[in-house]
Amino acid sequence: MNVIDADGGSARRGFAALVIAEAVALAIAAAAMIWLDLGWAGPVIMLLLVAAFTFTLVRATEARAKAAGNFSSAMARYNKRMLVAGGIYVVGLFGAVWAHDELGASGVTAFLFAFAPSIGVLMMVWAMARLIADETDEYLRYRYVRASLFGLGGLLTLATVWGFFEQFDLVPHAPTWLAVPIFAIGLGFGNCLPRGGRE
Amino acid sequence: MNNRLKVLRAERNWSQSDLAERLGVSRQSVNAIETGKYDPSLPLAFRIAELFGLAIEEVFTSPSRHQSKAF
Repeated sequence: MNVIDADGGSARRGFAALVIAEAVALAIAAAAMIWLDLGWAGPVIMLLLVAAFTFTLVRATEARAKAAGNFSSAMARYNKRMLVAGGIYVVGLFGAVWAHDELGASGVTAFLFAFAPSIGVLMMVWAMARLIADETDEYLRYRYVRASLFGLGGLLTLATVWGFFEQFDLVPHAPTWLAVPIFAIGLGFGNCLPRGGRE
Repeated sequence: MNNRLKVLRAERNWSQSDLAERLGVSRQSVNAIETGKYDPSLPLAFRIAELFGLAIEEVFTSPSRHQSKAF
């Protein structure tokens, strides 16, 4: 039992160190790109770095889940879907920005360009839904649902409070595409909820 | 809901991973059930009981029954 605890603690520490190292590396890379002023190459290099770091992070997350004994084939499929969706999101976002700036658009074409970044995000939402549907382990499914409810509750709370603050001109306007990232942050916090007491 | 999972597992010299594999669930599920943090569904509770060759009430006991016995 102590061996399992030691392994779990080591995996957690390793994972936290990786997250911190990647965040620091990205911040340094971003500062270097701004300082070097590489033009269009800068964002492309940053994108490649983010993609590589995201892939590493996903693999580390899987290793951590395996060490904790809560990894499942549904989670493996979810990770793959999220990586693909993330790639499509980045291509859609940068493609839409480029097309909007370089080609210009109006009418239906403008709507299509504006919709392009949403495709990847909608795929992420679909992947989250599939995870809950695909998971055969009832305890893990319960945890996903609990984390989702936590994320949803956080999003609804923040959106309501921010909305009224905005209505009274107390805070700046917040773009609604922030909904999914905020939900995802809540989901992350929901996964870290203490598991003490009766569930 | 109280259970005798840990004792039954120890009697067979099974680790949590062994039991999880036999049940087709994650090790964390076994841990959560064993420590009383999660109550399994009825189908999973039956599967656990059948795996140990016991009746379900020989593995799981109602906390209210446990309390009433104490009085």
